[in-house]
Amino acid sequence: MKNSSAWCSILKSFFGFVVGLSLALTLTALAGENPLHVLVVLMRSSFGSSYDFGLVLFYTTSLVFTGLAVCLPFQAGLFNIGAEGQLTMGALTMAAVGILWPALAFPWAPLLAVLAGVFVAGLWGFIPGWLRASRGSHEVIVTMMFNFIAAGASSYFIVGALKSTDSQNPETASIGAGYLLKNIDPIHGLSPDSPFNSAFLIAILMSFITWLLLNKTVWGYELKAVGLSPEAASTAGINAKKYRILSMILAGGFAGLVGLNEILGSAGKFRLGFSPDYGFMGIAVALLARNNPLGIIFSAFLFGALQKGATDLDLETATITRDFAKILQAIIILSVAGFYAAKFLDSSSENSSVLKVSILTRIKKWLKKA
Amino acid sequence: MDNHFLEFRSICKSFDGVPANDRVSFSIRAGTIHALIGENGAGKSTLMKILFGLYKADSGEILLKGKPVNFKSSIEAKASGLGMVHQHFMLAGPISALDHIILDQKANTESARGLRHWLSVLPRKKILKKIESVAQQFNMPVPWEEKVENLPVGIQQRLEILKLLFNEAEILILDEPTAVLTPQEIEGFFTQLRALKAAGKTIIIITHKLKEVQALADDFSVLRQGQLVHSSSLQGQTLASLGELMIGRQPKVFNKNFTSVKKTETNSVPQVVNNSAVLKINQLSYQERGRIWLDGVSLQIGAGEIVGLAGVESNGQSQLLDLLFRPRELSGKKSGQIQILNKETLVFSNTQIRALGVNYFPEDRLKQALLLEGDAKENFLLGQQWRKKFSRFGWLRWKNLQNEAGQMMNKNDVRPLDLHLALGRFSGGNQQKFVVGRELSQIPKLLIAAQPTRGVDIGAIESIHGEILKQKEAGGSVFLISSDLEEIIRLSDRIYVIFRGRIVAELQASEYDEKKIGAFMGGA
Repeated sequence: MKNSSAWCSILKSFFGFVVGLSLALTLTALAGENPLHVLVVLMRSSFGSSYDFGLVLFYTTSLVFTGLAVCLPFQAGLFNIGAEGQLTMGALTMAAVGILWPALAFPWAPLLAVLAGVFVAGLWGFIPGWLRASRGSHEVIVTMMFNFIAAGASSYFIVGALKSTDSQNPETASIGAGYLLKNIDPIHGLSPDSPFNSAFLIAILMSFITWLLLNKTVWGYELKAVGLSPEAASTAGINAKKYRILSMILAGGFAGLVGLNEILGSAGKFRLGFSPDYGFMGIAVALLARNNPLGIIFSAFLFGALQKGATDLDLETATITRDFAKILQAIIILSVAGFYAAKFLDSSSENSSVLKVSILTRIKKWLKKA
Repeated sequence: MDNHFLEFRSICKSFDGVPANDRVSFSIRAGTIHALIGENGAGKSTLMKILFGLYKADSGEILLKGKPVNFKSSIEAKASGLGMVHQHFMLAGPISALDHIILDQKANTESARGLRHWLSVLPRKKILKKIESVAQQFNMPVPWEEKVENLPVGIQQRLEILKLLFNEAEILILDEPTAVLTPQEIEGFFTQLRALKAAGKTIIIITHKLKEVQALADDFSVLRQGQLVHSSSLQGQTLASLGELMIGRQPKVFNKNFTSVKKTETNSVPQVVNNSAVLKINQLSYQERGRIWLDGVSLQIGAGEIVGLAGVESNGQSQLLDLLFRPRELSGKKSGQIQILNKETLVFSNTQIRALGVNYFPEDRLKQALLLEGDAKENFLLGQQWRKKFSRFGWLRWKNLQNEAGQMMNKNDVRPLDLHLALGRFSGGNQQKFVVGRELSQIPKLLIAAQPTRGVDIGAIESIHGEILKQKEAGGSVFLISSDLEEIIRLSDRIYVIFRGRIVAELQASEYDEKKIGAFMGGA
């Protein structure tokens, strides 16, 4: 049973992706492009060179963090659309620490910055979580508002206290050299020109830790129980409020780690608008992975590649702009979501006919042989 | 009379390769009451859902008045004069009772009347007047403007039945309709059903209460493990023969000695003295939203004693249960004392109360005891996730858990024995056996059992009652809250009767008399 449903999920994601991509490519034909050319550009954009691939993995890193930031509250029955604000606050705090104490030496400097950034980002998750648990304010509304506050705060500090003195760009001053992950980076050399850095390893580690937490510990179990049925959980002696708040704090912390990738790992400063909506893409990442922390690694990679591809399509084709690329992304997300909703391939579905079940078993057999 | 008014021909339906209906064929006569009986998971509900267009049969056909029908949705079925009340009500919490009637009407007429209907003003007053007259005709009052989530389960059931009556359905399918009604209400309800039959309607009633089958039905059909084992007129059948057809052997419950055997056991248990009371409630009162729910309730339960609380639903039992098990979550005005094992528990959290050795079968198992989307092993863990057996330093011990969950399901005959199956996919009776097994596997000192056999078939009742008696033999105490008088009389050593938040009577085993208790329950 369990295996078959896991297979179902993977197959559904795969079919959904293929169908979505085909639809999206058909759409580019309507826009006057050669779909094959678009596909080639997309592939080359992601895998063309070690620089391209490094950039994809750089996006992937941030998307793993925001994917986790959506996944965890979702397991506790909350919808966190505030990852964008949380990551902004986290990154801003890291930059602020790096600018205020520039002389700090290597191992302690990034450690302090990360702790401070995760703390503030966690606070940005805690407040909506606490308001939901104790006052019943809906977390979707509150986190959305907190996104605006965070955006405003970052602009304010960039033109004010943290202003860069030697640049006209909307960005902060550079952080101290001791803060940069480059000081020891075992994997940056794999793609030396791209912003790819060791935060990637931390992202993978976090996915595994979250997976362990959710599946192997009592806390994860209690958190999921709250998400499945708050009333049954509280009858079983589980404090639903506590877990709702906790999930939002952790979510904020995960989102804040985007700063690790961006500020400490690559840019060395806070640039306004550095995030191409990582926080919102995180929702799609978590959805595509069906809130499985390990699946998030793969779906983040996919969205990272699409993000990278979008930039290059804009440059290399006549009609496909960045916005058009967003449409392509949206079609793929819709298609994958549609495949989940449909009972197709779902062996345990009440509507499934013998035929569908037999397709599934045939595919499984075929996979075993291969 | 049309002998083949509604005919099932070789209906097959399986889930995950497990057959729920296997070549089921039988006919229902027009204008009769037809009982469909069988144990949990025998396939009764599945068959009815196929008839009602909620499931699609794998093969076979259904003929209505000689014509094959194949409803693709419940709306099509309703349009052809079918109506169904499900075992688990199909009601939306925050919507008022009247709006449910309106909603149902709207859904049924939408396609017929098109745009004009969309734009028309809802004739609320007209519908209210009409439904009130139907309610009055059948003597089933409902507070129409109240939100459904605030209504007790009994009234919700009433609303579901009224929905059918309001739709003037020709064929009424009732899945466990009497499970939540009081003995008095059941009598009245039967009178209504007979009146409906006299008016030419055909009624299919799914039940495992064989007494009701005898009292009510003209014909009956028996399903066992998905197959039809019998279908005939009720003439010449006794309770025992019906029971035997249903479970394939002589059921214990009909053994007349069953009750008396239990009574002798009771006598061998030494009488309890006051200071060893496991549960002691003293002058407990509770007031919420201007209503007095409990008014000076005092009672106590000794070690190794089963004490029943009889009463018609919503006379304060739900509030008493919450005060016992999760007092902190109640926001109203509390006074008086509850002592469990000599500890004042009115200020405890429910984790602390559990830690004292209190376990609980909640009234509404779907909402309060189970994670319906979680699988069996996850549900087994619920409430005992911190026990050393199942977790060490916060790490879950899935192996132990799987073993124990499997053992429990095996011992309590929870079917199917599949640890990875979502609990929502088990039948009602198996869900309840699961809850019972899980809570009793923790060897409670005090068990609070609320409506432990509601909507559960005779085989499961037998096993659940057996488990409750075993709990007592092991020295544990049981507080049994039930609106099923028979159940209370069969199990309890002592009975309190609650009426409008007050304890109106306390009876010893020697004083039991169904009529007398029934009168107390009615407030006499």
